[in-house]
Amino acid sequence: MDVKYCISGKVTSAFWDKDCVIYHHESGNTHLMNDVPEALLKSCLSHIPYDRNDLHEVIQQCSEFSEQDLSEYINELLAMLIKKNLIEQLN
Amino acid sequence: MKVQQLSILEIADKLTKNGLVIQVGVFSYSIQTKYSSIAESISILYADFEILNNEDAFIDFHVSIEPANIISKFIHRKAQFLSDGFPLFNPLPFQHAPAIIEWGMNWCVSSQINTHLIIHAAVIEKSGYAAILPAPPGSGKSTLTAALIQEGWRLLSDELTIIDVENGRVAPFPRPVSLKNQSIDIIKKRYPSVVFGPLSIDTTKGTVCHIKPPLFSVHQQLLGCPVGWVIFPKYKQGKNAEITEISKGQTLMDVADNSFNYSRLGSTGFDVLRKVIDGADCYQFHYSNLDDAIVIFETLEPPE
Repeated sequence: MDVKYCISGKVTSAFWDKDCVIYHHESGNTHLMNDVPEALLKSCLSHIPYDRNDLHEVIQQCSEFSEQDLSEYINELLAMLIKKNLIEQLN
Repeated sequence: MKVQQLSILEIADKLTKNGLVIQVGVFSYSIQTKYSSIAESISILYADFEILNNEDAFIDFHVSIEPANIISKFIHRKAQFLSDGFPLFNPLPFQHAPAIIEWGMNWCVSSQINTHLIIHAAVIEKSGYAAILPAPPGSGKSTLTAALIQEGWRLLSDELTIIDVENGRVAPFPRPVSLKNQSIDIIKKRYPSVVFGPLSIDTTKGTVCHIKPPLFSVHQQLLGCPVGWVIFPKYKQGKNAEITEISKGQTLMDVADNSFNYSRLGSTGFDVLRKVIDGADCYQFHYSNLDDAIVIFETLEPPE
């Protein structure tokens, strides 16, 4: 079964061009995210559980990646969001 | 009644008795001290400010400068800043009293106010929009501010940008502009009509001198405005003046880093800063020459 993720707690975000700044209410931390497609980031910060395949579909609509680069990119993005305590693994 | 309507002796009398209460922007201070140098300094730098009545005014900050202790009073002659009767910092030579009171008055706002977002930045206004200039010490922020307010910009604050969390507008706090070392002579030569307060020599920051805020800025000290620009200035010797657009995301992070109470305000701080950055054009600005800097600031267009 694919690992599921969802947002950890409440966040408020601001999107400008290629920048996104995310405020995490529980920790009080503010995070700058550069060059992450807005639609992908919004999917990652969803309260509805999602897996890598869901993100795969979203990113294919907004960026051009080779299959391998795409998987690596999603893995790195998820790892970074977990490290920042913005998302959590559900299973 | 304005400060300028009192003689230095009358100011000193108020300072030594119940305190001189003045309104600076949205805040009021009651100042008490026996140091005559502060009476002199206030008579020059705060001449255009309103004096409030001790009896019925709401006072935000009670501040005083006193001899550090009985030994200091007679031997070391050191002075200490007190807020609400509590000493806060190490005593400093009494000759620095005029500078100590200014630093202490800044400290009150930067450490105790949570109704506003407080940013360590100069802020000036033109055409109804504020330009916030956040920068670390040594960036030439105060020199640039001192020049621009002689060139038609309104002084909102030299040191603390105060943003109302309810509406994201800058609340003016037009205190005297603090100049250090070579900047003092640069501004004196360039603008001979600028009124300077007393010099404090050999402070921890070198030689410090404050300049009187323009009358126009004091008259409009309750007139806030939205933020039009966030500009990070940096003086670099020999560098041609250059203004470069920077990303809003990075600007928000850098302004938050320069804020005294962003973390304390929690999500309110983020919400108001997001609103401010949303409506502002954001730049990095390098310069080595005030003439060039003034020209570039003149060309700034209000944000769309």
